Amino acid sequence: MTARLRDALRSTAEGVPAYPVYERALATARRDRRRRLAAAAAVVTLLALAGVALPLARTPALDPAAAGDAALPDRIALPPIGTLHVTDRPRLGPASVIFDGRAPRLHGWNDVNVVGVVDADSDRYRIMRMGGESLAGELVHLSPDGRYLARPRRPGRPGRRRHRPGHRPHPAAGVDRRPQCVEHAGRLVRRRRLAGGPRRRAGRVRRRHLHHRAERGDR
Amino acid sequence: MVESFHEFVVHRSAALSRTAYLLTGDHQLAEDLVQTALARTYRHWRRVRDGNPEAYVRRVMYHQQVSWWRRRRLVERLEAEPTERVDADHSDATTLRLTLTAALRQLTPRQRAVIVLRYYEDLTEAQVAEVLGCSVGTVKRHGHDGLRRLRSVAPELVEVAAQRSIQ
Repeated sequence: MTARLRDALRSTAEGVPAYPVYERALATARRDRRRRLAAAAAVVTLLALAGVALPLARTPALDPAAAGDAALPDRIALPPIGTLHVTDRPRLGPASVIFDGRAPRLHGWNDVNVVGVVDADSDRYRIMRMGGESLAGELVHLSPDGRYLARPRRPGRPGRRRHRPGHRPHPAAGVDRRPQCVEHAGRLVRRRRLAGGPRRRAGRVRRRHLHHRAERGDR
Repeated sequence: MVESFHEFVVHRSAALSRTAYLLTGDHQLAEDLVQTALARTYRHWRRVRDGNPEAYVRRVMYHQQVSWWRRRRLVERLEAEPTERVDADHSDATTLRLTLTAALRQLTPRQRAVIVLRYYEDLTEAQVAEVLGCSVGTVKRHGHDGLRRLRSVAPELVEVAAQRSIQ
């Protein structure tokens, strides 16, 4: 049944010349080999770059807590008029407390809120003006070592916080119509609604909230 | 004695070219197919030279021919009637060859591969299945479909099998 088909296949095949493909086959093989090597090198390079870039891009590790000799103020008052900004010199060392409140002195012009910063080793105050709504202890946080502040990237957009290592403490935003917040060493230690007013104490840090202070025997 | 790749190509390129032409039906495509198969064989030459290099090349050729990407590259236009008509003054062999060339164009790459393997390489269905990496049933199906299409396009190539009448 297929005898003629077999004859036709063989007859057709007999007229086919031998194709001179040796040199081109070698060139193709070598080109493919170069491409594979280039692709492998690209993969290795990407992996190496990723190995370098990822550690740089990842979130830095938590800062260690402040040293044991840091002090915590018994009372927190409104920053005096003319209090220096945190970026002013002389620089304030590591901070122990940040706070905000409804007091006019913590609320500037054009909805500029002010966060008060207290030095860890003295009763020196600094302020930081911050646009938009910023709550100390909620939107603005003090790092455990007292050297950095984390605050929202944009005023009025809570939740998008950016830690900015290398900066001095960014005293933050006061918030009116909000409870006062006081944060120490990364812990929210006080939150109370205060009636604002000149020279009125903005709040008192209760000792019973500062267990670590009692253990150290400070104050 | 283990021959070099160059010696292998010199000795076997003619046979490989014939098979490639039967698979593709076009000299340029056949040349490209042989070149690709030899390049892949050269890449693995150390491994295949001690065995049966020609079988390896043929296997690569068949797989390349029926692979999906090669089918995309081969833009074949299937027509109802053979595009090359046979003139009356050609010899029988030429007539048969042209008829076969036109008829093979009507087959799919896999049907064509089965036909070439079965009726040119004289392999059994099991051997064809092994070469193509498919089941025997698949080989039977493609072989049956290919023969039926050849019979419809070029009846002179495939004789109708004798059938006894029911009495």
